[in-house]
Amino acid sequence: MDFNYVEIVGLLLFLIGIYGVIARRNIMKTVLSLSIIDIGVITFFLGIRNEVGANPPIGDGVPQELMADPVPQALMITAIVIGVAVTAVALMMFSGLYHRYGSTNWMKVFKIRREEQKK
Amino acid sequence: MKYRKKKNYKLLDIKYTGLIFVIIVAFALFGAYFQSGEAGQSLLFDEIYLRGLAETTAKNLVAGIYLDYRLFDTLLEALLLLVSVIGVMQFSHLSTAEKQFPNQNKKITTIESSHVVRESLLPVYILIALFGLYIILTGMDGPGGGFQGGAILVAIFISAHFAQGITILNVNVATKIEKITYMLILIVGMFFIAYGANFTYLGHRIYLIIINILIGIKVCSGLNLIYMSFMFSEMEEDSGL
Repeated sequence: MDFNYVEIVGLLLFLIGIYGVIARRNIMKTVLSLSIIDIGVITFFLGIRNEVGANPPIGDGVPQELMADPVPQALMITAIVIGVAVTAVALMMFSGLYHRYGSTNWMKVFKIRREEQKK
Repeated sequence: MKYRKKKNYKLLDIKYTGLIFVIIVAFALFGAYFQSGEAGQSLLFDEIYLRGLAETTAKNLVAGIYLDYRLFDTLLEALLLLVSVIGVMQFSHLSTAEKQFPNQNKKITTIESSHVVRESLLPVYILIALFGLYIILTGMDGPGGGFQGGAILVAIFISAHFAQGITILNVNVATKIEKITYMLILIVGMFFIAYGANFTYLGHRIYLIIINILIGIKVCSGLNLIYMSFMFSEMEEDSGL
């Protein structure tokens, strides 16, 4: 049975990212896990109808059987820019949160906030 | 007994429950993936292969898709980059205003980069600029485009600030460039959507070059702004800005 390893690697990266978001309480690692999920989705989409040795979708003399599908690639260039933008904003929000509460841990930040609200 | 209970309670730690949850998700995901089988023939790819080069005049079919067929997508993508730059700058002001825990390491040792590095960077800048311009200008016929070329060009500003301490593109100037180029991208894109059907081959080529250059300038100034706001939000206390 032939496996499409690009798609499988994409799914595995997605699962690693999900585990990082659930199991880690460090905010920095959560942001990194979100980036890994993003990369997993991009890898999965690029692997759709992927064939070993396919040519890039450039030029007019290439037969269609030897050419990679340009549609997922054009979609994923949007996803890459969105991933960069989301990561930048999340890191800057984390920077502000760290200066405000002095911790990188979700639970400690929650505790400090609760104590501040009681006062 | 109480100690044992505590030890049992540790099995419900977030790491183990997270692992169990991820294994369940993995079974569902891979089950669905292997059930779905291989992707069939793509009608969209067939149509784009037949008509893409003639309609968009771009040899790079990906650039043809995202600058012609899916132009709204690109316009909103550029808007999203602008919004993210606005958000990063806003939160950088917030992070300096909310600073309650001053930097513990007051003695920040500044090491000057070596003379050789500083003097030999100019040819490197020229090479990076040439490469970035090449990627932008031939984006419709080869691998590349505005986004990629802009990301290469911003390496000049970042390395100049990082290695030599020179700010080539001021924050205020970069903000103005970001706003003006987004307006220009909107105007050119809307003009193309309105009158693009009547364009000749030359018109299509000129449109592709102009929008690639505009996107390149916008991405370059946007990434430069993100870098600058990250740097200054951390340095503000020490540099006295």
